[in-house]
Formats: sequence, C-alpha cells, structure tokens
Amino acid sequence: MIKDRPGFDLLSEERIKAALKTDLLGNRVYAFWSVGSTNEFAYRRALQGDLEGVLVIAEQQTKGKGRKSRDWDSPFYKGLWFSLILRPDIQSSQAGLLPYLAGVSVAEAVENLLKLTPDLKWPNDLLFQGKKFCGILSEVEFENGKVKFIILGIGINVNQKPDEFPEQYQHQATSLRQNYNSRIDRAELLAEVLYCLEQNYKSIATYGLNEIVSKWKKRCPQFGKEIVIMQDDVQVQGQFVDIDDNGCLILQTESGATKKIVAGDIRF
Amino acid sequence: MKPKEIQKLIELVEKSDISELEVSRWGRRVRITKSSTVSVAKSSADSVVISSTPPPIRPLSAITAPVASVETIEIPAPAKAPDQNVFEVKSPMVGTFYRAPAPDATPYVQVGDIVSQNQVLCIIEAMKLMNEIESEVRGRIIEISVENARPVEYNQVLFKIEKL
Repeated sequence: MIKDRPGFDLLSEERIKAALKTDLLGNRVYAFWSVGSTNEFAYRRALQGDLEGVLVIAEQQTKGKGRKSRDWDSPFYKGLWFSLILRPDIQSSQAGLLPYLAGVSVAEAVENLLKLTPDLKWPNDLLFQGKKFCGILSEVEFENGKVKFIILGIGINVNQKPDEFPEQYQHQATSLRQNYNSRIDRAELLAEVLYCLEQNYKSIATYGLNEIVSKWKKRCPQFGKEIVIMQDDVQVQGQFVDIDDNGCLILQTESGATKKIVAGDIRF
Repeated sequence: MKPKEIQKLIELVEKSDISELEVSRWGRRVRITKSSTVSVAKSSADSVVISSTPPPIRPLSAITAPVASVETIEIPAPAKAPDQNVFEVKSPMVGTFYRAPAPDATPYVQVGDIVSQNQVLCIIEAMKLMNEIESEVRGRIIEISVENARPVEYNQVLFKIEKL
C-alpha cells in the first residue's frame, strides 16, 4: 500500500480519499504501488464478498489486461489504472449495456475538468483525433440470471509524453497531457471520473440504461455513419444505425438487412 | 496406469467404432468396454465403472511383469445417455464465444474432459465485457455446441456435460 509523500504526486489512499467527492464509489480504496492487474484483484475481492463501490488502483500494472489477453501498457506514475466493483440490480441479458456507463462518464469528466471533448469509439475507447487515451475492459459474474457483480476496468493515459509510449503504439496512442498541453493532477481527474460515474450510475434507477446509451451515441462521431468493422479476418460494412437493448451495435448493410455486432474493431 | 491415461483411452474408445479395448502396461491391464445398456447409469457414480477382477490367463505379449489385476472400465454409449443426466450450459448473454483466454492459448476444455464444479469452460465477450463461464456440475464434456469465436445468443446451448 502507498503512503503519502509530500512533493510527490503519488496516488496514496489518503490522497485519493481527500480528493474524492463521491459517497459510493471509492468507499473503500486499495491503492498499490504495483499490481498484476487491478481487474483481477477487484474480481477476487468481489468473489470474496466486497461490497460495491470498492476502488482498486495501482501506480503500475505488470499484467494490465486488454481484449483477448492483449497487453495494456500501464507504466508507473503516468496514468490512472483502476477498477471498480459494482453490484447493479439488472438482468444478465442487459449486462452488455454497463460498459457504456464507464465510457460516457470518463468523457464527461474530461470535458468538465479539462474542457476537452473526446470522441467515443465503439465499443468503448476514448480518443483524440483518432488516437486512443482510454480503454475500458469489464468483467462480469452472473447468478440466477442476474448480474452478481461487474468489475469496470478503466485505463487512462494521463501524463505520458509522446516518446514515452512503446514505439509500436506511438502512432495510435495519446495521453490527456498531450491534448491539454499541461501536466494533469491525477487525483483530481480520478475524483471527477468517479463523480460522473456515480451520478450516471445512480440515474439508472430512474431512467434506465437506455439514457446512458443515448448519451453515448451523441459522443460517438461514427454513430449514424457508414463504418467498416474488422472481426478477426472478416470485414463487415454498413451504417451504424443503433445500439440495441443488449448493448449490441446494429449495422444496416447495403441490402437493407440488419446485422448485430458484439465485438470488432471499427476502421475509419 | 495414471487416471489421465485411462481417461485418454476412454476418449479413444468413445470416438471410435470399437466396442472394447484392452491395454497392458507394466504388468497391469486395463480393459475398456463400451456398454450399450445405459440403464446402469442411474446414479452419478455408475456412469464409469471400474472393477478389479482376478488375473486371467496371462497373454503371451505381456512379458514385462506379472499381471497384478485387470481394471475393467465400462462406459455407457453416449448417444443413448438419458437426458436427465446431461447438463446443458447456456449463454447468459449475447456475445462471442471463446474457448481459450487468448487466440494462441490452449482451450479451457475439450470433448471428453472431466470437469469439476466451478471449472472455467469458456469466455463470452460482448462490448469488451468478459464473462468467464464456469461449470455448475461435475461431469464429462460430451459436446461443445459452438465453434470458437462465433456469436452466441442469450440462452444458447454452449456445452453438454454428462453429470458424474
């Protein structure tokens, strides 16, 4: 666990708790110097009965996870690498809508704090000029046809300079600092992300998840447009017309038929 | 003979047209007989029967060591297995079905594998939301109903497991 050290912008539990302005999210904080994967740790804690709102954050992940076990580069001190435990009361069939909650909330937080408007890219990347600065990977556990818990894993490149990304990612990765042109206080940003997330999460009880999806669509420049999706070696093309009740992308192909997409990389 | 080796032999017999296989190694012989009468498989313990019988006449080929015993394994013909003994694992959500944690990784399970309760069988992914599906029963995988990396619907059958 990290202890606070004056003069260093380290994300200690004390520092995080002092910055937070939420009731639920971050009610318990696990702050690490280094951990394999915050998602994995949070998942284990949730299995052991930890309540919702738990925040697991690390200055560095040694085995940060991306899709299909791809690596997610999470270097020491440069970003926000964290996971949250949520226990929403929703059906398993609707679980696919929950990741949108995270995407929308990070976008809103960046806008509130830095006055920058990032783009959302399906299924859940955040970008500036086509370069990614935030990725979201979630894991869910079901019980009796309902969500038992979900781990929202969020990785945000905050203070990296262009040459601090591994060479193979430099053309496709960016950080908030590169777009804001100044160093960013990570604790303040974390507090804003959790604040937006908590507001949106609480709104589900009243407005349902469809309201979140509507917000998401407005922030996605490809929505309504002609897109190409790569699914392994297969390419599908059509108009991005909707996101359905399960969270799937609905593509209308040239023939007028609709196709449901659950995974893939959108090409510009 | 190690349980894993015996399990492999069972798989071999199951997949083939032969009804009986006898293998001897280190003085021990294992005979696997495919049974057509499934009525014996009424309780979970009955679906695989391992019984030791007194050593029969020693075959000429078995020259390595004295034969201690013969293990006879009877397995019910899978096609005739009663339905109540087969557990269907269904998808809890719409998504893509993955048999392994990464494209180049070994699949979690294969047909014929004995799985324990809570053992991971596959991953369903949708919108970068992952769900590891675990077996709710102890049993043998008798069918993997979906090809790797294929889309699956809510409630679609993914695996059939013969309960043990």
